[in-house]
Amino acid sequence: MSEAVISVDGLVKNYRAGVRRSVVHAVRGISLTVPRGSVVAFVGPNGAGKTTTIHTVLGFIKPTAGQVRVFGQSPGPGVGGRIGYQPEIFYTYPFYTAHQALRYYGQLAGMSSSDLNKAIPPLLERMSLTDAGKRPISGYSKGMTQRLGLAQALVHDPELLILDEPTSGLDPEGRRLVLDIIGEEKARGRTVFLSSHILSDVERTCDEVVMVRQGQVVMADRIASFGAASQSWDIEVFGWTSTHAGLLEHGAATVVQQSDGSAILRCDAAAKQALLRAIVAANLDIGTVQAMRAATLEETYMKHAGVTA
Amino acid sequence: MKHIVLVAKNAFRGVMSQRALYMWGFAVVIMFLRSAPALFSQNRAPDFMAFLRANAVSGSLDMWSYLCMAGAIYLGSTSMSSELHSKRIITVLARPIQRWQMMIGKWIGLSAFCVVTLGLGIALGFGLSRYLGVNVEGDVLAISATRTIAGIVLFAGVATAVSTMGSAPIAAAVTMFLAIVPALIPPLKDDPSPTYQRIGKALDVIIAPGYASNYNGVVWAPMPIPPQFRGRVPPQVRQLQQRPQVDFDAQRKQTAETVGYAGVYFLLGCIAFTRRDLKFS
Repeated sequence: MSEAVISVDGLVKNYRAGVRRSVVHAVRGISLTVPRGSVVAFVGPNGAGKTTTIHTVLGFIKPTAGQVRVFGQSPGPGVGGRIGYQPEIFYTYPFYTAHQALRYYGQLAGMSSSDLNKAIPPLLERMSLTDAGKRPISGYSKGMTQRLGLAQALVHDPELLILDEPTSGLDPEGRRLVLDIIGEEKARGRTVFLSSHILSDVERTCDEVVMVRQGQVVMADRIASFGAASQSWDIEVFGWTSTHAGLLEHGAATVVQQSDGSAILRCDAAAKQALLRAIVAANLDIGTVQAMRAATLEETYMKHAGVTA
Repeated sequence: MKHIVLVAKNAFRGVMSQRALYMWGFAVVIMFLRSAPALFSQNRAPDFMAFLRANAVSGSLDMWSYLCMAGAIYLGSTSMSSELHSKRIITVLARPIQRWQMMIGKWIGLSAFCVVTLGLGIALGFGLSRYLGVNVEGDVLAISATRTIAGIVLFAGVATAVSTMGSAPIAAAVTMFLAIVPALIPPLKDDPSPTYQRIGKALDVIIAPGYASNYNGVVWAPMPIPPQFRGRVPPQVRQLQQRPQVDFDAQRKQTAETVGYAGVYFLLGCIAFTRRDLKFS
């Protein structure tokens, strides 16, 4: 088993808020692991505790209970040089140019001037900011600022990238750029932990997904398991009555849906041919025949983490 | 140390980008207006002109020093609070930098800007003194500037430390309170009520020494009094006829105390900021 870059165990975070200082349970026992070299998505509705968890991993917030380890150490400046973080909305110093901002952030991460001179021009080019690199950031569009936000997270070549809604506010081209970069970082063996609402982005880029709702993990699984073909088939049959129940013995089939003379029968793949022959022999009409698949990420999200869940 | 220098340079640059030149221009205009009577009065009695010239230079320096300290309060109050409100602090603290390093960097950067501004004012004051043909008392100017720098360091430090709570107005109010309270301590200590005396003594320990300007001794000339008023001059005006005495040892001691208090207040602010959660809505 690969080493855990981020390890969150039973994280609880309570706040006091409002005039009455009532307790807000932001996170209620989240546990998750981000293995080295993987891309793990953290999804959930607004207010589910994603950003609170990320800020705990970054050391901005201290847990009420539970333990957070990053590279096996407590979160904070001790591991800051190994982390690249892009916030949901990147705010920076408007008087800097992109070049100067990256230089500032790179120096804070401990980079030397010569390393920065080598790292910044290709990074600006990768982010399509070369032309704008010498202009003050105050004149940048939202998309340009977000791309610069990703650049500052990458400038010191971190081992772990933490991206909070990295495609937020980006046009399709910018979104594609971000997803490509995540793929490139994964190919280089870097670890990526990202939070996102855009499930298609998650399906495209991530290895694993952790779903949270109301401060709790409601589901965690490998992306590959969502929407995959299963060993079951559904056969739609017209003219079905209760007298045809004997056909079910041909494939250990079950009736999963029945209405007005039609039914949907479910059977194993191995028994499909025998069941179809039996249906034809019984002079029943066959409608659709389709392989079953596991629930998609979106279906799973709506079931576990959606607001109607 | 490298991180502190980086943040200090960033803070200095940030202030410079916020129309610092306009602020300096505004201060020069006020200095000019303060000096206008000396610059434009003609055909007056020599002793009256000497008084006007001395008052123009010392008054300008005095005003400029207060502007610098007000700037320190304003810039310090908005320093960390604006970082928190704008969320710029997130991408800074996600790097291997301690919170207290960021605070010290801000403090140094803002104080440096105010000290540079003070230096500019002193240079202008020298230029004005040359133009008006008056002599500057170098040692008085030096101790006055030192006290102003200590005041800048104190007020910028306190304002920066309190601004980590996230509110610039509260930071400014607390700093202004610290600037005003020292004037209340002697009457409290001298009050016949033992309670007030105790409050006065407690405040004397807790609150940093008050700021006292000595710029009126940098260039001095007695206030001329017309012959018809000489017999009935109020004591306040009579005081203006005597050269102000500067106790250099006491001033040095108070300067050191001020810087010491600034360090203690700032340390408390660093501890509080390091221990608290950073919540961003």
